Amino acid sequence: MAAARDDNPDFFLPDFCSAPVVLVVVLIAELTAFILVIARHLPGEGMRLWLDLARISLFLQWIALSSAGVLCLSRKLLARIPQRFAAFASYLLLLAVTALLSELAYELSNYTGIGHELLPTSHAGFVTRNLIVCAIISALMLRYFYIQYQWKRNVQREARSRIEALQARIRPHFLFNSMNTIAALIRSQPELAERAVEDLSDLFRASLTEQAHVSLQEEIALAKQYLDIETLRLGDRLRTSWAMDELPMDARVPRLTLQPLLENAIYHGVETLAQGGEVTIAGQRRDGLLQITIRNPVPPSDAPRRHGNQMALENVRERLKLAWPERADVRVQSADGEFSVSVQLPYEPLVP
Amino acid sequence: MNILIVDDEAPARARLRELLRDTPDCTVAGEAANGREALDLWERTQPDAVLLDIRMPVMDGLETARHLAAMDNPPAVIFTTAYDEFAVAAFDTHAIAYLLKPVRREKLAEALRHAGRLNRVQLTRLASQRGADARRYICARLRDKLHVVAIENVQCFIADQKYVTVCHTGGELLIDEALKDLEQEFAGRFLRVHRNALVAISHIESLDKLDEGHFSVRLRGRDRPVEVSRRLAPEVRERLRAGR
Repeated sequence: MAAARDDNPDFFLPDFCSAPVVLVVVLIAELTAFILVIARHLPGEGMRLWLDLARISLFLQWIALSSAGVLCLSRKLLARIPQRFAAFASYLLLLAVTALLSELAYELSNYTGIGHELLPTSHAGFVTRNLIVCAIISALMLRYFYIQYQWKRNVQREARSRIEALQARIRPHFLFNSMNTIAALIRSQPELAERAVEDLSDLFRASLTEQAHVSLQEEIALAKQYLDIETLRLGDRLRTSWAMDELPMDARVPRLTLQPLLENAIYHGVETLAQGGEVTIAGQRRDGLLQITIRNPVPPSDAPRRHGNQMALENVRERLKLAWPERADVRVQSADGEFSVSVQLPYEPLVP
Repeated sequence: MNILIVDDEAPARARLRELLRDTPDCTVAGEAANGREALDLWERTQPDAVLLDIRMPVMDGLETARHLAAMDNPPAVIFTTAYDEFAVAAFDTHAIAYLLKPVRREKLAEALRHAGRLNRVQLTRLASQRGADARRYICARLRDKLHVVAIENVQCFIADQKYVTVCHTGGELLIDEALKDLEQEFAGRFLRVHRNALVAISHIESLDKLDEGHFSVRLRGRDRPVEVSRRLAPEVRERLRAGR
């Protein structure tokens, strides 16, 4: 994607040195050449039409590629001045390139005699006409790039705000229950209460941070802190077992991938059972894909289900899909009093 | 004042116990980890008030309150909840006492001073709130003992003139409820087969044809079949066929 390599994505002019943008410029020039030739000739004029097209194309591509070159070189400078002036300046640059090259072409043609029959008799007329064509095409092109930039920026902004909103969703139920546990522990076991406050702070800091991805190691540490808090509350009703040795600890994962799933496992599973139950977290690695499966017991199917089962799952799925639209997946299975959710994502080391 | 604490989380119970120790004229009559335990304990201790958590396994607070309110000498009920949008909204509109966790000392004392019994209107409204589920137990007094029967063990409800007989795998009980309400509450689990009878779909063994187009259903582990009315027979047959 061009935007990813872009040194300054906050500028409306794309990088005119990049291949996709040059291709767009070439296409615009060639389309313009077509229009000019078709406007001048009737179909069926055969050879003359093709000759004209070749010459005009050559001339227009010359202007177009030179313009792209000039914009490429001046982009850094233009990016420093206010957007409005930058737009005006690049417009003037394009006109200047056209004027200069028209002048050069006129002199060259007069001197060598190549394409002489194409030139109008008036020197000033030739340059003026080219400037008018350039003024219209450049205005359209700049507008096109500006709209595309805006659209891209909106998409990015939307994705970012969605990630932020999704991260922030730690259940209020959990917050208030934890506060209640802490209130209960403060007098009887102050050290435990202190640790719970620290763990809770870390969790909320994680949910408020802007950094969207962390290493698997950090994510596991955070999930364990979460489980510590829940263990204080639920006592031996909550049992956990981890089997993550197979997984590379430097893998990149969206922040708060495990925690919401564990919260689900407790909220819909362990907590609803008088005897509690065991939550198992197991990781597997296969063909560059990591798979983490969380299992928990659930009450028999005819007992009333707690509401809002899907929200946390959808949330995790959406964030994984934003990161890896093709290769990430979240699968859910429910059978025999057991619920399991499998998260699959490609292995990518987190670059610190 | 004798108070029963009901909460599935040990720290939450510990906190209430601690707060009650500091409140004058209050003693803790007992502690239960869910509604089912609370009903047994209530039998033995006869507390004046119950502090009742809403989210609990086995039997939740709302259901426990319904059973308690149906007793001869019901205790005052104060709900406690950490965060439960539906329930809290419902309490507010029906003027039912509740405390938000972590509970404040002053609020607890105040709630205990004003705690009252839930009346039938409040309970019916509460039960019809969004988020409230059908009961998981049927609760009744038989020969001065409280019986709590899981709904999956109930085979049928038969209405007499005044009461409804609950036939379950361990015997029979009488409850003072309308068959129509039971039908509504347990729709999907129980099937109306007669003007005076609801049967548990999962307990039906067979639909038997008697003479002259009369039908009856036989229930697993129960000798006496339940009569099916002529009008409802096609519907019952249809339902059984769909379920198998």
